[in-house]
Amino acid sequence: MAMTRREWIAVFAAGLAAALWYLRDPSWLADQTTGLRGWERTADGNGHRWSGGHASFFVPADAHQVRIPVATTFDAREPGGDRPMVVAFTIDDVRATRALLDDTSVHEVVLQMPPPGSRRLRRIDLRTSVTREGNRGVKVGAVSMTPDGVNWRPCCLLPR
Amino acid sequence: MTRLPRWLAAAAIACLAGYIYAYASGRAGMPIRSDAFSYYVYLPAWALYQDPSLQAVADDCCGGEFPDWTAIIRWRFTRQWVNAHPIGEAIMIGPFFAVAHALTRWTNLSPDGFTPYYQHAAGLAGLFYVIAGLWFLQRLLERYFSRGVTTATLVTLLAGTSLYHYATFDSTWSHAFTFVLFSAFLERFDARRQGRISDHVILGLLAGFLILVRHTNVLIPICFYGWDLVGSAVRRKISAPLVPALVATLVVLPQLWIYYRATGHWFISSYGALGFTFDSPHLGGVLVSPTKGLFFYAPLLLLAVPGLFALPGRLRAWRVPLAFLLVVNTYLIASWWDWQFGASYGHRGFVDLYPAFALGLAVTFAAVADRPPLRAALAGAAVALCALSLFQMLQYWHGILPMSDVTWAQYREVFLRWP
Repeated sequence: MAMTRREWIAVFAAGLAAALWYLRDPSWLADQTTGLRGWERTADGNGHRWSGGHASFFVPADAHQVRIPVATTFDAREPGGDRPMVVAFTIDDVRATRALLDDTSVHEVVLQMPPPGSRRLRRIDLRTSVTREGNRGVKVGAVSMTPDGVNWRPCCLLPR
Repeated sequence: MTRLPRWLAAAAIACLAGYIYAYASGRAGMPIRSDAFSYYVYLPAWALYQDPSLQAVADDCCGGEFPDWTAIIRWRFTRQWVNAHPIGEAIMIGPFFAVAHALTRWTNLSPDGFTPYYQHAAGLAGLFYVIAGLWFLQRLLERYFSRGVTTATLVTLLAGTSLYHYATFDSTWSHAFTFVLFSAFLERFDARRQGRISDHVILGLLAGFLILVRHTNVLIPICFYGWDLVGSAVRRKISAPLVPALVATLVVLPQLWIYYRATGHWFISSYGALGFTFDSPHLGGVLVSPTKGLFFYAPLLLLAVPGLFALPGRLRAWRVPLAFLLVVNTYLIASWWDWQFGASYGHRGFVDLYPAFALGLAVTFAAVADRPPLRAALAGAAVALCALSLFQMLQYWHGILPMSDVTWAQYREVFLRWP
């Protein structure tokens, strides 16, 4: 039996509503990153991913705090390669904190997360004030979270 | 309401399947890459950063400086960004970008213009415009040819040339966008009536957008209106195409303003020092060589060449402008410093001219339509050539056929080889 135009519109509207409902908070977001290159292993067994001038990733929305290890290089032989770098963090596009990197050590940036909302994940963006040669921003290590401010566990950007 | 013809719906599904395969298999990377980046970059700059200078995108994506591969250069005297590629494609992607931006906000992805929804909005825009181009060509061809000939022409054009590739794997390149504009231009130019102002306004819009997508496309309106003008002069009843010229100029003005803003000049060579080598064109290279020859990778188009000399009805008047357009464009393509046009399946420079070849192909198909033995032979040859073209395209996708600089020895080595 052929469907009428009204029935087609109803099926289309139902499909669209279902797709939008799914896309509001999809589980695949947890693995979604932008502006981050592949993992590089360091001699001490840890790893990091280089960001560009802008990178983003997702963390669980039930985190109370999130800890992000960042570092960069200082090389006077590169043009502007020894300039201090400011890394600005936002949570779901709301400004969260800034970190000044003026040496090569790893800085552990702790973000105070807002109360959980209607989504399972929150997006964290970082932007660097300058980049090093090859559009490298910061080295980002494995991210940890705590739901209560006491017990920390790795949650995101885990080495593979 | 006109229904979408079944063959066109099937073509759209086939293109969508190819698109999904190209990206789901990881063969194609992301849609906004290489040249597509600089065609697209205006959208995030205008819509997200309200920055026509492009600097905000450079800051966000690339540490303040666009890499060399983007073909966006700093103008020597002003230090402003000048994009080698004009704004037309970005404007045509605009509606798709708006949907992508709304979805990006809805899903809470980073609204920077380059996250997945934006990427596939741009990719699917190219696919959509190829299908729309086929639809315009169908409208044109059905005025002169049977439905069977029209369908056979457009199906073989899609499958027997690199058009399918530029609707799927490389759909963000400018060729899909020129293809639809040229197809629509031909359709309207044929249907226009002298007293109907809307036809002239639409043709002006199409001519303007053709120039905005690729500046050398200016040849298309020049050839057709130029020949029209010559004809009217011979008849001593000169009718200059003032309305289309005025509309096209208005459409192109924002591009000129962008050039003026960045350089202080209204007209510039946006490619900087790169240019043409008119005294040593690679005509053999772009037409018949295994490196990037048009007829080498799409031999089906050889069937279109005799047809272009025998166009029916009113289309006969197009023989001169079409010949001029094909010859001059071939000379320009063959004279470009990178005559291969970088990585591409077949020679991508000619994809823009496929609507013209469709006319010739239809004539050839129509000539054998009533002669069963010839029709069967031609159908067999066309199917075989389509299969060969699609197979070689898959070889290209899988890295078996090199992206450029293919030698005869390399081609022979990989001929019909899989994987």
